[in-house]
Amino acid sequence: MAEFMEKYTDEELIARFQQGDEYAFEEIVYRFKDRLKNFVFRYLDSEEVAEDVVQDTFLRVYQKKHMYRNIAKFSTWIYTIAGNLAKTELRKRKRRKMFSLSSLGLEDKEYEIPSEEFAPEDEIEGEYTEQEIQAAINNLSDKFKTVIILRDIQELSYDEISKIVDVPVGTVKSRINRARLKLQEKLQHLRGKKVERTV
Amino acid sequence: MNCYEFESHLSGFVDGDMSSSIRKEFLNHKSECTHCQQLLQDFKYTIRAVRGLPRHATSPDFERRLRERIASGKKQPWFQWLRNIGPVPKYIVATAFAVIVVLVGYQLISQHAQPMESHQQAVIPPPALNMQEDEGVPVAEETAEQPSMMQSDTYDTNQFVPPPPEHSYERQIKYVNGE
Repeated sequence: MAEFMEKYTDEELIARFQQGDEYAFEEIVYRFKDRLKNFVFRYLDSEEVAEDVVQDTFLRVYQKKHMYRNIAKFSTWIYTIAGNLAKTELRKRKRRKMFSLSSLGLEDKEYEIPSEEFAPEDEIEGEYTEQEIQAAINNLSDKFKTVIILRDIQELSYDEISKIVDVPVGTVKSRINRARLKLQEKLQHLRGKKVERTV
Repeated sequence: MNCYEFESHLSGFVDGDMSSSIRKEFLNHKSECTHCQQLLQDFKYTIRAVRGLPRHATSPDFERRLRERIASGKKQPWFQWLRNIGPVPKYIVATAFAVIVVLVGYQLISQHAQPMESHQQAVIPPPALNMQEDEGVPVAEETAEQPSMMQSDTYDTNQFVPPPPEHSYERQIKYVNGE
């Protein structure tokens, strides 16, 4: 990694890469790989698939570098690519899941339904576990899931999120508020179920 | 501000994205409503829980694999789009198959029929003109000197002598008579 690249902004890096500087691309990968992995992982809830999606994202950036125009932040552009690829992957998984469930017999289906039990060692006293929070995120609809990950996990601004999901800032604000309320509701519901079982 | 309005401003309050007048109303309602006090507390707790999720980083060989993919210029196989489609309902497969069979069948039939017509038009020479002067119009008849291609497989196309370019009846009659 060329250390002198650190001084450049993301937009300067992609501009250099567009002019053929491969080191600039390496710096872009270095800066965004973990952020994108975390975003896609929380969206898809799969380490392996998330890694593949992030690889595909960088491959797209490499192959379509000239499609970036310096009218938006580079991070917005790359998050949009990753988000679109993740959505495509999620749709494919839903189709596969529907197909696999529909091709099973009734007896098999009983074993396929995920258990709502949580291992006691996963639970942290007084807090939600990672599995609980991830399960609640998974249960959100796509539009709520995307904004809550971008806002509370990726810590992006309302304005950036608005550009990534391509809706007005006002809509983003109200969507984030509703997403958080839904998540809160789901987490409390999850807790409620657990309490009922243990009492 | 009522409880419903309070709920709609929760994120604005937590994120510090709120006008001072709304904030004042928000805080006034909060001081009066125990239900909303609890709601705000739970709301903050949920956000903290999500923000506290562990970060998932890429694997150590991520960049090496990416470089390899770029270097090899590896592209998805041409049939990858079929995999991406995923399972397709049987009736769509059956319909697509039927359409393909019909199209291929139609193509084969039309290919078989077309060459015969064009071959006949292209190869069969125009018959010699035997002028029947009493009728005044040239009548195409096959003559003994120029056997039809349909009658003989060994027909030599060189035997055919094209008519003169000028199509006056007199010239054609002279031509036929060998003058």
